[in-house]
Amino acid sequence: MFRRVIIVAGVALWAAFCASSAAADVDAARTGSGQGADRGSIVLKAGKIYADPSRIIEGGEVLIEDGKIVAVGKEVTAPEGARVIDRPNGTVTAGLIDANSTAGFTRRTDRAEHEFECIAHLRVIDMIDLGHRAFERLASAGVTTVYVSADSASVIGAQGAVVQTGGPSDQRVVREAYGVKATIGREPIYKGSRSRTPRRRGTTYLTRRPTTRMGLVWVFRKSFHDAQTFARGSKPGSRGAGSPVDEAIPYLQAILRGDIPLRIQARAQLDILTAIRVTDEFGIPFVLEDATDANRCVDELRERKIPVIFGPLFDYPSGLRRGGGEANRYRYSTPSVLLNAGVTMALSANDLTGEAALPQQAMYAMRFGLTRRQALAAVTTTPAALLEIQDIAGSVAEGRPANLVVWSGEPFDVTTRADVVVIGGCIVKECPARSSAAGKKGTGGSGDQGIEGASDGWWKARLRGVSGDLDRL
Amino acid sequence: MDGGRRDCAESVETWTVCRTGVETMRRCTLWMKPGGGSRPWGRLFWMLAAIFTAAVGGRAVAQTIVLEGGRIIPVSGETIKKGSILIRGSKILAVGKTVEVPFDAKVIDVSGKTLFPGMIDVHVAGLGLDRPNENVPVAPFLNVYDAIDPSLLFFEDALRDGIAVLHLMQGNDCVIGGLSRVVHPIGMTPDEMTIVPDLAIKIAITPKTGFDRMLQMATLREAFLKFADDMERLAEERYEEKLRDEKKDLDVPPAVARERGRALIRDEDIPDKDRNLLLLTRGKLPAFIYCGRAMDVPRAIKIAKDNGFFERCVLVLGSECYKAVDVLKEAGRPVVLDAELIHRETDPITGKEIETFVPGVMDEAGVTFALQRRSGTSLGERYLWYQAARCVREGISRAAALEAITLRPAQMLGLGDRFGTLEPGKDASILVLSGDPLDSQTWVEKVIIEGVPVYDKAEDIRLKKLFATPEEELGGAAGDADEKSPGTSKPAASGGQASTRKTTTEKAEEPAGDGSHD
Amino acid sequence: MSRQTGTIVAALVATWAAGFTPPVEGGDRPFAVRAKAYVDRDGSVVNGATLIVKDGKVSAIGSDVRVPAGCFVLDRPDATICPGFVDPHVTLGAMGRTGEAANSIETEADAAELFNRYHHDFDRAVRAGVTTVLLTPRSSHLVGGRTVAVKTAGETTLTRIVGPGPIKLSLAPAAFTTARPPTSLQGGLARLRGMIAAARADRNDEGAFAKWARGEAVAIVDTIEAAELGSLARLVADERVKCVALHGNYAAERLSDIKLTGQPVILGTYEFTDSLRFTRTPVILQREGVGFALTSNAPRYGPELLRIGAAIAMAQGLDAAAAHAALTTTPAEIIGVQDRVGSLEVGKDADFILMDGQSLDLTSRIIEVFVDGRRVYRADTREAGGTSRSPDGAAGRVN
Repeated sequence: MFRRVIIVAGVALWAAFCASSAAADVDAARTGSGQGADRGSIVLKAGKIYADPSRIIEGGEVLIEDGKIVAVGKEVTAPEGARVIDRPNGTVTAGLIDANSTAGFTRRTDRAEHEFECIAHLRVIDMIDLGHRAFERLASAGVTTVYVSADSASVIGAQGAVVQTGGPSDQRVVREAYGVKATIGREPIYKGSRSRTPRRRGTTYLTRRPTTRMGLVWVFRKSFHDAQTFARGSKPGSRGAGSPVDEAIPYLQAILRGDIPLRIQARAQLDILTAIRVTDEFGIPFVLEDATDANRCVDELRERKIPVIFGPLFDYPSGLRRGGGEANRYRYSTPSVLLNAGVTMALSANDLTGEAALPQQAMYAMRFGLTRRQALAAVTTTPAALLEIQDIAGSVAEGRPANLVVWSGEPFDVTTRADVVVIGGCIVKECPARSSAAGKKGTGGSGDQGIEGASDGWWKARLRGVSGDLDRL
Repeated sequence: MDGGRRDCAESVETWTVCRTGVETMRRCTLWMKPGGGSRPWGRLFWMLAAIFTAAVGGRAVAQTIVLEGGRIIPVSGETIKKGSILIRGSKILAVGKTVEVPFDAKVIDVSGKTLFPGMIDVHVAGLGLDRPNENVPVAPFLNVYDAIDPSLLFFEDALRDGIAVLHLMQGNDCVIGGLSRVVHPIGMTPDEMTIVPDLAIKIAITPKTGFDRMLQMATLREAFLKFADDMERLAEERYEEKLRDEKKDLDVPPAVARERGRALIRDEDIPDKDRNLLLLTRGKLPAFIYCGRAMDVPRAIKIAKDNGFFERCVLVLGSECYKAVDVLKEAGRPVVLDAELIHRETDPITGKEIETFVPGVMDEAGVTFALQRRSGTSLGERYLWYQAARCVREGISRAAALEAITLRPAQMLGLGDRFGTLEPGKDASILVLSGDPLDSQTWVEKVIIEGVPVYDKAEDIRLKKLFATPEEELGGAAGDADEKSPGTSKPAASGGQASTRKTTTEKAEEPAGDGSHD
Repeated sequence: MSRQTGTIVAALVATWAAGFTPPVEGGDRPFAVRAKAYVDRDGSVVNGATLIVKDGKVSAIGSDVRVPAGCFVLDRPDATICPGFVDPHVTLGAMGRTGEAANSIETEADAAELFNRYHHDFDRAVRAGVTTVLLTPRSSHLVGGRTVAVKTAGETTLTRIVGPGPIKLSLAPAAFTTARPPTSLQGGLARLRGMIAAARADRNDEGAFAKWARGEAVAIVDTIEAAELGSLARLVADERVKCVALHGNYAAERLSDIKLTGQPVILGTYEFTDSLRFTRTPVILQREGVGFALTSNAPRYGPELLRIGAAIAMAQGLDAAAAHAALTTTPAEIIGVQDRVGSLEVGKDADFILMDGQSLDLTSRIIEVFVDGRRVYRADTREAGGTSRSPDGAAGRVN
């Protein structure tokens, strides 16, 4: 069972994953297809390179070879035949990282495993669709790496995964399983659509759901308590409703040991405080997801050094956030309040893709008080550190996989778009260069690259530029 | 030049402001009105008295204002890096690097700020209204006037977002909808908000709920045919009546009788419910025609041409309508684009998603377009400046993008001579911005509507609340304004009273989700 | 000699009288078929065909095969001999009755129990040229049970069963309802993983699931949506099991996943009204070197759609050899009965079709179908309309 518990360890893990992809035939199949096929040398030239939020290279160049960043600097020696992409007005940043995404989920029924309340033994990677459109849209917006967090329908949910939004298909999965997501709030109650009081047939898994926050916390506490009891070698006293299934217990124990990071989605102040309280009982550190009311618990978060993945920003809650009444006290100032208080904070767009994806979140965070560097850190280095992939993502440095974005101007400006997106050395998006941002009329949407095999004239303009292996079909 | 006459004219204008813009003024007016007969100078007297009273009372009213030292983006011309605007009453008197500052002018220093015309939301489909969609498919007799809910947070948000003019329309879920109204986002009653009443009529080509396309078109055609029929019959009846009165026998064929009778139709003969159709078909009422799909566009044009309102129609388009760009180009009518600027479609062969930037297509074809925002959506597309900035992002010229949220919508509403640019003679509908209108870091700092400063960011209680620090939050100083009952918020200083008043009436935390929005 | 002639004459009379023949040539007696062409193992069409059938098996086939003296010869100078089609996913004779709803995991279920050889569904399949089918449990079960390969015609139940087929799994949406666990794809995969681990631990388990879990056999896995192909690929990569994707509609859009499985895909059912997005999948798979079989999913759809599906794929540019393979050899390999059916080779079952034109031309007519060397179907000559294409254009004669 533990074979699949991916133990956290930076580069080692990356290497381990690549190696553990095992047998040669499978690897051949993985690399032999799709985008991995042709990865030549690329030289990106731009007016400015944000190597990381604290290091800016004016007028720099990046050399990409074999999917890796080989050189970053004022001038790099380009090998013969290298593709040169020159954007003098552009800026280069590392590909953005969304540390709390729902990309790749398909049907709603698929997300929730109703069999148990604690499903820490399940893995999100088993059901997300890596070919889902959401990934394409995210890549197009400049988001290259996401943590797909489990659905909020279970009190203790499944293990999330770190995946690339595009690029070579053999490198799409960065971490098959990383972290377990718990939810404290209304959603496990609300989403248990089958939750109802037992009638004639007594309690079954259909009636197992907690229907109050009290019940929810009881399930949470009972799960970890049982795991602890098992770890001590004895059997828990009662193993009825709310007890974790045997399969889940090793994972809970790993959380207790700190081998698997715990993430808790909590929005309302009361839920955040509850999360802090119950994890304190077991001494489990955790990362707070969503955290709409984090500004009301700043002191608690700072004292316990609880990192926050905040977002999305909004001014009127919608969907479950609205219905649940958990997000009514949203504040524009929360990101800057958290940062100013010394809380580690990453930004997330969660379920928003396309126009409202991470760059827009960063843009609004800036509008609401962050500096550009803070915003950049909150979507690159901070989430990378929270996902423990800081050695392979989040900054532009030699030796890392080439996940880069060339923006048409300063990143996160509303008039800036992601012009070129490189994931794992593959160009997944490339918009034609604009001579200048203003004064030129009528170039909008004329970046028509044409699609092979599709009838032309049917659509007149495209936005996304070249992308993906499907173009080749 | 004859200053006396101008003053007079301006005062009358001021009266208009009172009536339409600032309700305190209106109350003063009403209160003082009983003695003031109908003669213009009498009214003028009372007006001046009202202004005086208001000024003494510390109320903000239309006055002479100079906005000095700001960067002016007039939309109509070159940006003035450092200039001033002279406002008297509700009008802009002068715009330039320097303007003559009258002795009575209140000078507002706007150095470092950007002055921009108030943005115009040209097609508010159903928002700001309580239940915007009528069940009756053909309902030209309706009027959004009766549905406007000034207490909605929607209007306050619009003001905060720099929208000075809103064209409130019935929702798209109709066949022939009611009359629309152009309003300011400020005022306690629809009357106070009104700029232009009964401006246009709404027609939808895309089927109403429960209708298919054939039924929609059949209903639409039938409505116009029946109206034409009724008019013919009425004409004939009138002619016969006339003959009867003259004790003559009918001596001409029906066609001639109808011809002769047409002139005899009196206004009161026309049934109330058809009156707007009469105006529409005579080209006296503009129509906003909603086309959700490209296939609706030629049908919309045909209906408009057949019934005589083509020259006065504006097409409101869904994002797919970019496919009909050739038809739109040939028609030459202005269009309002969907808030979703990117059309997404699955390629039926490869299964890949195709994205098209709709304004880009329109811009390339030279179709005059205005941008819409999507009310209710969180951030992003909610703002007109954001929509314009997206256009610039995708390569549309800055001038065209700015026009699409100011001048072009004003022209579409037939108000091009009053709104949309910063020029002498136009209404003083001005935004004081902290920076460039297309910069995401820019905030609307002040809004001046018809010469009255109605919004001040510094006094915006709701915004303060959204930016509350934890101390304020927990101390409850500014944070809990929403939890308190209306009317208990702290009194505001002069200049910001409008927004204060609005805030006290807001429904706590209730988003502007006021009914369905197609 | 005269007795033989007598038999033939009698048979012919019977044919004329009934319009439909009983099996004429006895299983034990060798006979030869001479035709214009035959379809070879690799799907190519070889001109000049002589096929000799003995004991229900192919004893010789080729363009230069000598017919032994005294052998009965069926002369079909205009016809093409094509191996009988193999359909890897049908519920013939058992539609709607292939699994109960209470449990999602039915490891011990066996589709052989469903086999109803008297059912008229099989007659229709025979007329469509389908001679071997795989009866499969329904897709509403994570583990549906064992499949069974059967002939569409034959004397007894026992002789008609070719052999047990692969186990049937399903990752399709139908397999996950909130009414019974598991309710999600992730839960389903976790279940499978647990079962695989358990099956591997128990070496003595000879059940179909255990064999699959140990990598000794393939499973047919229902994957209707694109997402499920990814999950399937993940299962294959992690557990090293062999899986054939069934209904791999999105195979072309998820090539890397399909390649990862290392197995052919079962595509279909294709109809004329299907989106190009799906019907051009075979062409793309062929270009990418991925094998594929077609299915008709009969009797939900007509068994004729097998042949029609191939024609639809060919209209998108698929070449004839690949289309032949998709109807014969590839499905036989998936089912695991390639030693007996799927191609006309010496020693294999004499399951073949005679067509009065090109084998995959939709205007060609299936004039005769043979299963195990017995003629089980003969087109009604009166339906044919003209004499030139009559199946009896040349009478049988003895060399």
